[in-house]
Amino acid sequence: MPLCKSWLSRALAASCLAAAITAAPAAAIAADALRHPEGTLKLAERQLVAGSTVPIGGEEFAEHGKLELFLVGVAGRFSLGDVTADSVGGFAKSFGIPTDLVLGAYRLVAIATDGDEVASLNVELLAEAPSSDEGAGHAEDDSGHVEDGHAHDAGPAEDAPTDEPLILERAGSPWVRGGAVVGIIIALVGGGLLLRKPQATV
Amino acid sequence: MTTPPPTAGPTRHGPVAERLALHGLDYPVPARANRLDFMLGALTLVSLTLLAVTGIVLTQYYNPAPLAAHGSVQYIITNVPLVTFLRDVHVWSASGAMVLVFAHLAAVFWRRGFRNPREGLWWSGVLLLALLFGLSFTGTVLTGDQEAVEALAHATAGADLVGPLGVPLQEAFTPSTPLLTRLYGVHVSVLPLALVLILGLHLWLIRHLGVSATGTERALFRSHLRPLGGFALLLVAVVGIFAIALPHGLLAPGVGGFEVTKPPWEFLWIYAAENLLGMNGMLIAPAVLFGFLAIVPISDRQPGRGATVTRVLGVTLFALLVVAIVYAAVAPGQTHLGM
Repeated sequence: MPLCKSWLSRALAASCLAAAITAAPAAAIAADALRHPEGTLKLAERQLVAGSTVPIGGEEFAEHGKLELFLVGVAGRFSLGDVTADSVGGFAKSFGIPTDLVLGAYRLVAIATDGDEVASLNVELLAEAPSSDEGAGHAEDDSGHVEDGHAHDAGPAEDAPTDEPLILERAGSPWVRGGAVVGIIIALVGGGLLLRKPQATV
Repeated sequence: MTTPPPTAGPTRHGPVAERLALHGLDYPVPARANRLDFMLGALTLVSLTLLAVTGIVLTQYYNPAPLAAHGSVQYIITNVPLVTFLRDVHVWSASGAMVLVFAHLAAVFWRRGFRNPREGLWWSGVLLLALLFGLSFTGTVLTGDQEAVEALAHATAGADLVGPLGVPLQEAFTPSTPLLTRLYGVHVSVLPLALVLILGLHLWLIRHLGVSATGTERALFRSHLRPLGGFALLLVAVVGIFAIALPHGLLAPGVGGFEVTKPPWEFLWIYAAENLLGMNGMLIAPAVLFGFLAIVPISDRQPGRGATVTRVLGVTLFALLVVAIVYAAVAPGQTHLGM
């Protein structure tokens, strides 16, 4: 019987090893096959005006894939709307820019239906249309073509993400705070009592 | 007349103690185990219990969808006083658990509590340490803020480095579910379950192999529970004080492609390694630490040169760890992704 068990355990170990050796590359291949095509967003101007309507184009996305466009910045994420790519993975649609966003640097982000980010572009949100001189300068730049879909340029330093915590109005309750203080006092007193050495009996 | 020494014989039990079989706690342990340095593991368990209880409450308010995660945390902070306090207790308990587990590790290492027959006890402890790091990392990425996004970016970059082993940490591994949501599932189910299983083994081995304390004097385990309870209550009080005095903040929603934050303190030694070695430091530093911890019971089996070398290496590594954490905390931030 011990001989049987030894043979069986060796066979089981060999099977597991074989499965692991074949599963790992299979998983890698599957992951590659399932990876989203990374598309390219196209904008005529990288400076967006709050309240305006902006034509946004895209190419090289998943064929007939549904995308949702967001403006992502330090103030949060704001949806611009949905679009569905055509049979060759492209789209062209106008989107309204909200009027109530904090001005400054944002990323225009395209997100697929499973939440994956598939393209992004740095933009700046302005209150008014830029002057003709500024507009001409930017019109001569590339139209927002992002070669790998995730490249970025730094943007204005004062609007870049920071490690400073948000200034939030924390919810407070005298009952919660009072209860916590009472609990702390009880724990301190109880702990002290338990740590006192028991007195020797006489 | 002095109090007679405790014995392992039967003691009187009330009706409740009898029905709860508390006599099972009347086994002998070394009297020396009634000191704080022998209770650090149990206090780590107290921290983990605090984490579990507060974590269960937080699951009712947290939304693991990538575009809703940050908003749900912000909602907790700005709208629910009790839950935001519990969130602060959760975060400070996590720090407490890491401090205590390293103190426990150092104490066991120093008194050579890994020697025969306690090798399995040591290795299960090393596994528990790895699980704690996993829990800390997955908890960090759940907030969806800048620190979380950068932590996730580092993890996926590290996953790229290890090839097929890192596939589960890739976004495309399961196209149906975002990586953040999967990590939430790992944080609340996979890692806690693994922790409970390994902890069960760890406690079983302690119970049956005994504590590695010297001395012939014995005490009942029940007498060990009294000072342990005292220290546990003090730990809870300290965590509560920190939660009130230093509530945990929240950064802005994460923006990918930037590196402006540093990781939580327990990962700063890895950050320091990345500063010095590039992205490979993220793999080299943990490999060195856990590789050393794994071989300790083998290299230090009995008194001799191996024991001396192991001890010197251990003390040196521990000192390096502390220095690396301090260095990374004060050094200017660096960009690692793409190095």
